[in-house]
Amino acid sequence: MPSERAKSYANSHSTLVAPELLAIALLAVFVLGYIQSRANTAGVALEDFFDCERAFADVRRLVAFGPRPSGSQALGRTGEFIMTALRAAGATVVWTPRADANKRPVMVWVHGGGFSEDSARDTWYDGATLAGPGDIVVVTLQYRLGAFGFLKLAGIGGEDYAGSGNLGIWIRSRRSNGCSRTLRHLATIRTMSHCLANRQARRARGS
Amino acid sequence: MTTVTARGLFHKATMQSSTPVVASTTQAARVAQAYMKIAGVGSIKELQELSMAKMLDAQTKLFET
Repeated sequence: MPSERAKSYANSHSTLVAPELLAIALLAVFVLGYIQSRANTAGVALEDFFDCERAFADVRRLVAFGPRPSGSQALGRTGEFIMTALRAAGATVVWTPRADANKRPVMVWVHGGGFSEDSARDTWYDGATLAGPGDIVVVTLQYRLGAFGFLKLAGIGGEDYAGSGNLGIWIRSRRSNGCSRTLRHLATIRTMSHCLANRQARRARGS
Repeated sequence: MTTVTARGLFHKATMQSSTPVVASTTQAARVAQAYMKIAGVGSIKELQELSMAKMLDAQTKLFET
């Protein structure tokens, strides 16, 4: 859990923090949750490894679906969904029912499409419909499609290209792998109040 | 899910679309050759120099054949 020091900052600066947090809450209908990380449960204070400034920038910037993966020929509507995502230019999208300290199961959804079409960005795959009723965290991934992710060049380019036919799958597993780390980053919202408070306290001290 | 790098990542899973193997290595190599022919390139280097638009165009043509 965050340190007592941070807590006391947060409490003493709560009126200063509230408007900024409220802005984010309005921006993100499906607010980022606070997901207790392993590091957190291991007793490491979150503010020790969070880049608070960057976390804030990401939350503000990534309030819509990320770009479609290269090669996608999907015709699905893109729509404008108010949602939150962090990391890798929106390649991973995360929904969570609410921002609190509860741990929730994480469901990772990898879209189909014959390795050559569709997108995690399609509004068909709005994870909010699962996250809310199911009280779970939903993560969707983008990966390279078609020639960009599954062109087997092993026989043409030699050893260096031995795995080229499975590049898309590799990216999937990389993104899944990055999930636990990403979700730890998503602990920001709760922690951000502490971060902001710390920053304000630093400013107040003139450091 | 079946790759070594994905080991330990999944607690439970539901397969809903296709199978892990969609083409044999021989088939995949033939597709790559056909793709390069359509794209008008003879080497990996030339392929890497193709624009995304041209790659997509070649892919669309390949799917149509």
